[in-house]
This record gives sequence, structure tokens and C-alpha cells, in this order.
Amino acid sequence: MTGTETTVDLACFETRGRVYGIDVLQIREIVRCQEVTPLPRAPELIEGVIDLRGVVIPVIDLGHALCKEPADEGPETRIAVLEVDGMVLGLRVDAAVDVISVEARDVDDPPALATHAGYDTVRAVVRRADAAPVLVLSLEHLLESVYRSALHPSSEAEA
Amino acid sequence: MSEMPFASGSVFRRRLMIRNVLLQACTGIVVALYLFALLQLTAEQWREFLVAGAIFAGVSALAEIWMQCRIDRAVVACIDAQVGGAVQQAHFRGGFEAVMDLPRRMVLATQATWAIVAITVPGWMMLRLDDFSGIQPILIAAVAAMGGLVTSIFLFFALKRFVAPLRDSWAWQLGGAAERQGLIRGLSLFRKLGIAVSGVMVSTVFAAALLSYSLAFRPIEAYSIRVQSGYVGRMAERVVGPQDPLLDLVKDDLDELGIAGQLLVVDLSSRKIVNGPPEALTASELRWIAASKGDTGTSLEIDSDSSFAWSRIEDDENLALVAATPRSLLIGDLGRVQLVFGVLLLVAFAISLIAAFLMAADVGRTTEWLRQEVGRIASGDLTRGEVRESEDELGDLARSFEGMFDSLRATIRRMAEMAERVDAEASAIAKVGRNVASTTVDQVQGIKRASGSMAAINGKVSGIANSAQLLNGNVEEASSSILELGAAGEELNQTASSLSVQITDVSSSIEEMIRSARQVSENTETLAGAVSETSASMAQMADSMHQVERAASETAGFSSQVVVLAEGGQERVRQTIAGMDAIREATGSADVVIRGLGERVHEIGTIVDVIDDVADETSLLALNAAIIAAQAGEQGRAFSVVADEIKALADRVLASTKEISGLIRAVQQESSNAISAIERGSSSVQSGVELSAEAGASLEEITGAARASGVRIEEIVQAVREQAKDASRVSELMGQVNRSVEEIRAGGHEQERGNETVMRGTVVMREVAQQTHRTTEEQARGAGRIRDSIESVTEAVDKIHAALQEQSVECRHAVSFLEEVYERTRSNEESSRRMSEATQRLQQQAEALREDVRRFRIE
Repeated sequence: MTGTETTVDLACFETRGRVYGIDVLQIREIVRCQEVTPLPRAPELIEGVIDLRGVVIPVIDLGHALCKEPADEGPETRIAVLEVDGMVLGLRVDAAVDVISVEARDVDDPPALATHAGYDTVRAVVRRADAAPVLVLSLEHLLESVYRSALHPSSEAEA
Repeated sequence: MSEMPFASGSVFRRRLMIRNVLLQACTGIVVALYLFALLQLTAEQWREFLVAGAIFAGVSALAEIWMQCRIDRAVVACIDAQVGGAVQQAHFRGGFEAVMDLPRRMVLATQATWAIVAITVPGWMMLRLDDFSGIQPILIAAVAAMGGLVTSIFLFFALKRFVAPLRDSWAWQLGGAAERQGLIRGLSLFRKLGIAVSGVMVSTVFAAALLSYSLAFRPIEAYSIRVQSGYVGRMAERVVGPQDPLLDLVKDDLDELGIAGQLLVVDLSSRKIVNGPPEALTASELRWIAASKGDTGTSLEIDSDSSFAWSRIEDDENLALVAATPRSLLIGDLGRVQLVFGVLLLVAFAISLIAAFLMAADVGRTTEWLRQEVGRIASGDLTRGEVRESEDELGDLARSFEGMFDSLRATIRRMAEMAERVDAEASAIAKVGRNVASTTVDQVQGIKRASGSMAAINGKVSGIANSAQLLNGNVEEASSSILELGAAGEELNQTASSLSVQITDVSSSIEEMIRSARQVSENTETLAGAVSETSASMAQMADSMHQVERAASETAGFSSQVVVLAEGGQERVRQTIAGMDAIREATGSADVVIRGLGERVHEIGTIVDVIDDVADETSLLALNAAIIAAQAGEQGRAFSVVADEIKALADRVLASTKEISGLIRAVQQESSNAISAIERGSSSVQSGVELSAEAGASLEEITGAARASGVRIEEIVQAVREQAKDASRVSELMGQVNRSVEEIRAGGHEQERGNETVMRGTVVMREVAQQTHRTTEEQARGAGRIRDSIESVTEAVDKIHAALQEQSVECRHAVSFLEEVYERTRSNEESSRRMSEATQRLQQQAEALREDVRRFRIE
């Protein structure tokens, strides 16, 4: 069977009422949200750092990064510990929903109209039969926007 | 009360008029614009339309303003009266009635004016224009009527809103809903909704249908006329006159090609058809062609019975070549389309009417039920009626109303029970109070009788005192006579020792002695009479005293009866209070139990929180496990299934804990409801306890007074007994006196006999002298005995006197005691009357409460 080639495992997270997916291979674990220590003069999108069992890792708030909305912590808030390009970081989300297996034929590219214009925040769109589509995030792009926020803090804030 | 929203009646009238006129003017403009879009009239026809519209709309507006002034007259009068401060209830009634009915009457007036406009404007145009006929007047009338209908619906709601402050303020002034009910001309929600919705829907459908019908024909006409126009334009270059033979060829051509129905040549100066059937075009069509400035033209710009195109003949400017096709020919099969269209229109009418009817019936059904239920409850029927359900706000209202009604029923039921209990207690207290009152009256009568007897005794005692005084005088007199006698005896003794020498004086001395003895005898008789009189008086006195004693012990019996009854009443009151205390204790323990229950629920809540936390943690662990399983690829599939199940389980636990939290909140709400209900019960019990304590205090007062009067009566009985003892002692002494008197009398007789012997024995001197000596000695002894007797009589009399004085004092005491008792009893009467009043008040209140409660039928 070709099951291994045709399925992708996604961890689904909810932020500001929308569901986003991240490839499970990029996730180390999911932990409860803990108090984030702000870093002074850090890039705008870096909320601060947390101590994860003796390792200090930076934390980015997904809602802030995507929607420019300030974080709103609740009992469901989680931090997903990710590894991107050999870098470990925490991504704060409003809730961790589920881990789903999707068939490759259900995965679409983002609209060409958007990608041609240089859009790369969402890597793929997963169709689901009974719910709204899951947007698969490009974590590399997320890191890039963190760097950009460090370089052009004013333009990011305005945008 | 809110502020008066209008400065005066004329301000109200002006504002009402401005609203009315503005709305009508808007409708007039909309109707006119719609007609402009719908109709293609000639300039002349438009002119007549505008003239007729201006005239009749103006006249109708004046008529409507006149009608408005009649309709709002009562409202204006009431506002003026209120502003001037001279408002009366009659003003409010008239004003309220008029203001409630104002929107409806204004709507009728508006519909009447628009109906007049709908009839008069087309009528005027038909009179003035000979070729104005067919569908156009009907269209104008229908559109005006629709405009009137829609305006009247808007006007109704706008005016209702406008008069709302006045209406509500006056309704408040009028007070009772029942009184207002008689002043309101009812309009059911069902009818209101039905008219509003169906009116708007029908007019919308109708307006759209008219417009679409009118516009559907235009493309057909335009196409046909374009063909006609091109052909006629070409022919006009070739034809030279009205009788040109070419015309016949052209006619055949037109007919064969189907370009037009007829070809005509028109003389523009005389406006006559010079070639072709003369009635092919109407006078107004000919007029219109003649009036046109250009070389060519079509009928697209006017509404006419035929579609035509014309062109001036090049060789003769006064002639025009016209190709005309009757409208009926153009429409052709459109007739069937129109039929289908008409049927569809009817179906749309029917659907809109049914929809309006259904909606109105849906709303009307629930509101009617609500109205009936509220009416039923207002009339006091609290039984559970039928239930209506609806998913809208009316359904919510009905449900909350039902809930309110349930709690009202529970309250009334509790109130009824309380009233029954209070009433039973009050009647028990009232019974006791009546007993006390009747006993008190008896007591007063007894005391009055005792008082009378005492006064009689007092009179008798003073009579006895007088007699004793008299007796005393007599005894003193007797005493002095006895002293005199003693002296005479002494003298006799001396005379007897010298008897021999003074024998002749003996006789006179003896006579003197006899006289003295007789005097003694008389005095003794008097004494005896006095003594027996005293004795009789004493017996009478003893009788009176027995009477006093009997009366006093009777009174004592009454007062002890009072005490027993009053104590019975107090026992009832104590039982009542004990019952109330038991209730209070029971509600207190219920309160404690409910609070304990609340704490348990709270503890359950903390446990549920812990479960919640654990489930949350489990869910997170399951998620991480799922991630690791996914990363492990195919090998992790089985594990991922387990992780999914664990997560689902944890999610179910989370959902359950949420449900439990909701339940806990509901339980806490219920227990706080129960606690407040118990507190209300406690306050009712408290008021019952206070009432009972009041009754108890009254009874306590009665008992105290009755006890005091019993003690007083005992004292009287005691005093009377002592007095009776004294009286019997007096009686005894009087017997002694009597015996002494008898002795005195016997002594007197003996002396008389001795004197006779002296008289006979004077001849035997010595014997006689000796005898005399013996006799005198004897006499001296008798005198001494008399003196003794007298002294004892005096003593006895003194004793009598003293005893009588004592008795008199006791009598006065007794009288004053009785007066005191009387006062006490009067005060008893007063307090029993007060208590009776209080009980009556209590009973009345209980009765009123029961009466109030009885108004509601619960079961």
C-alpha cells in the first residue's frame, strides 16, 4: 500500500477562532501555557521566554503574529514547542484541538492569485468534509516575519 | 407623572397636521413618479393630469384638514384643560377615548380622500379628453387607491407613535384598566397584522405587475416600429402624392412582408387621412403627428392604440406617409401570456394573503391566549389552565407568565393557610374574651348587691347605737336612784336603831320607802324593755351579717371562675406561641439543612474542578502522545488510535464536568430560593407570635385583677365573720343584763311584801323594830345587789356601745372595700372590653384576609 506516501499528519490549533495546522514532524511537544518572561527590546513578535524543563526557549504568539491582535490567555491556552531549521521555539495558541491524518488528495496549494503576489504564510489548505478547511502554516515564513518585525518594527506595527 | 409633551392644544394640532400633510405629499410624489414611469401620455394628457391632480389633491387636502380638526377636537380640549390646570376626569375620559381612536379615524379619513382622488382625477381626464380611455384611467385609479392604502398603513403606525406620550399619560391619570377598557375601540392583533402585511404585499405585487406588464410590450413595439420607420422613410422618397399608383404596390409589399398592417397618407394641414381607411388612426394620433416638427417620427413616445411610423413625403411637405399596425395585431399571442400572467398575479395575491393570514394567526393565537389567561387571573381564577407554546418572544412571555402564575398560586395558597390559622386562633381568643366579659358583668352585679347590703347594715347599726345611747341614759338614771336608795337605807338603819323614840315617823318613812321601791320597779321595767329592744336589734344585725357573708362568698366564687377562664385563655395563647415556636424551629432546621446542602454542593464543585483539571491534563497528554505516534509513522498508528480514544474520553469527561457545574449552579439557586421562602415564613410566624403575646398580656391583666378582687372579698368575709362573733357576744351580754333585771324585779316584789309586814307589824314595835332592822339589812343587801346589777348593766351597755362603734367602723371598711372591689371590677370590665375589641379587630382582619384569599380559586 502507498498509505505512508499519501497521508500527512497535522496537529491542529485554534487561534482567534480559526483552525491552523502544523506538520507533526516539526512539533516536539505541547505544554500548558506558563508565564512568559518578556525580553526587553526584543523583536515585536517575540513575546518573551519560558523555562522548559531547564531549557530557555523564545515564545511567539500565533494570534499576534497572524492577526495583530493582543494575546488573550485562557484555560485552554497552550504552547506548542516547535523545531524549525534547527531552532527550538514555543508557539502560543488559544487551544490545541487534535492530531489528524489527511490524504494527500485533500491537500491543496494556496490560491495561485495569492502565491504569485508573494504570499507564503500558508503553505497548504486542507479540505475537510464536515468542517472549515485547515490552513497549514509555513513556520519558515513565520520565523521570517519575526526577523522582519525586528528589522522594521514601525512598518510591521502599521501594517 | 411625565411632563406634558405639548405646550397647548394648537401645538398638538399643528404638529399632527404637519406630519399628516408631509406623509400625504410624499405619497402623492411617489404615485406621480410611478405613473410617469408607467404611462406614456401625450403632453396634452399630462397637462390635464397635472391640473386635475392639483385641483383634486388640493380639495382633498383641505377636506382632510377639516376632518382632522373634527377628529382631534376632544384631544385638543383635554390638552388645553390640562395646560390651564382646569382638567377634570371627564376631560381625561373624552381625551383618552379620542386619542386612542385617533389613528384609526385618521386612516379612514386618508383612505376616503385617496379614494376621491382615485375617482375624480381619471374622471376629469376622461371628461376633458375625448381619446382618453381604455386601460389608462383604470391604471391611474388603481395606483392612487394603492397609494392611499399604503399611506394609511404608514400613517396608522406613525400617528400611534406620535400620540403615545399623551395616550399613556392620560391612561395613567384614568387609573383602572377596567374603566379604560370601556373607552377603547378594540382592534385585534390578528386583524392589524393581517391588514398591514397583506396590504403592503398586495400593493407591492400589484405595482410590480403593472409596471412589468406595461414595459413588456415596449421592446416588441420598438422593433416593429424600427422596421416600419426604415421602410416608410425609403418609400417617402419615391411616392409623389396621395393617389400615386406606387402606393398600391407598396401596400401589397407591406402586407406580404408583414412589416405593417396598413399604409396611409395623411394630410397634415387638415389632419385627415387622404388614402386608406379613415378610422385607422384616432384624432389625437393625427394631432400628434401634425404637431411634430421633424420629417419623420414614431409612436414610441406616446401611449396609443396603434403602433406607427411616419415620414413626410419629399415632394409634398403637407403629406405624410404613415405605416400603422394595430396594437392588438402586435400583441397577438401575447394575449395568452397575459392570461398566464394574470393567473400568476392571482396566485401571488393568494400566497401573500395566506402568508399574512398565517403570520397574523400565529401571533394572534398566543396573544389571545395570554389575554384570556390574564383576564382569568384578574378575576381571581388561579387554577392551572391550558398551555400554549410558541418559539418566538410571545412564547417566552407565555412561559415566564406561567412561571409567575405558579409562584403566585403558591403564595396565595400559603396565605390562605395562614389566614385559616389566624382566624381559628382569633375565634378561640374571642370565645375566652366573651366568657371573661360575661363573668365580669356578673361580678359587678354581685358587688353592687353586696354594697347595698352593707349600706343596710350600716343603717341598722346606727339604729342600734341610738338605742344603746338611750339605754345608757336610763341606766344612769337607775344608778342615781339606787344611790338615793342607798342613802335612804342608811337613813332607815339609823332610824331603826332609834325606832323606839321616833315610832311615829316610821309610817311616813315606810311610805317614802315604798314610793322609792315602786320607782325602782318602774325603772327596772324600762330597763327590761330597753334590753329586749337591744336584743332584737342584735338578732336583726346577725341576720344582715349572714346576708353579707353569703353575698361575699358568692362574689368570691365568681372571681375564682374568672381566674379559671382567664387562665384557660392564657393556656391557649401559650399553646399558640409554642406552636409558632415549633414552626420557627422547624423552618430554622430546614434552613440549616438547606445551607448544609449548599456547602455539600460547593464541595462537589471543588471535586468536579479537580476532575476537570485531571481530564484537561489527560487531554493534553493524549495530544502529545498522538503527536509522538504520528512522528513514529506507521509503527505509531496503533498507539495513535489509543491516544485518540484517551483524548475523546477526556473530552467527554470535560463535557460532563461542565454539565455538572451547570447543575450545581441551578441547585445553589434553588437553595437560595428556598432560604428566602423560609425567611418569609419566619416573618409570618413572628407576627403571629406578637399577636398571641398581645392577647396573652390582656389575659394576664384580667387574671391579676380577678385574683386581687378574690383577695378583697376574702377580707370582707373575714371581717363580717368577726363582726358576727362580736354581735353574738353582745347578745350574750344582753342576756346577762336581762337576768339581772329579772333579779331586780324579784327583789322589788320581796321589798313590797316586807313593807306590808312592816305596815301590819307596827303594833309589835320591838319585833317590828328588829324585823325592821333585819329588813333594812336585807334591803341594804338588795340595794347592793341592785347596784351591782346596774353596774354590770352599765358595763354591758358600754360594751354594746363599743362593739357597735367597732361594727360601724367595720361596716365603713367593708363599704370602702366593696367600692374598691367595684372599681377593680370596672377596670376588669374595661380590660375585657379592650381585649374583646382587640379580638374583634383580629377576627375582622383574619376575615378580611380570608375574604381576599377566597377571591382566588387555586384548585
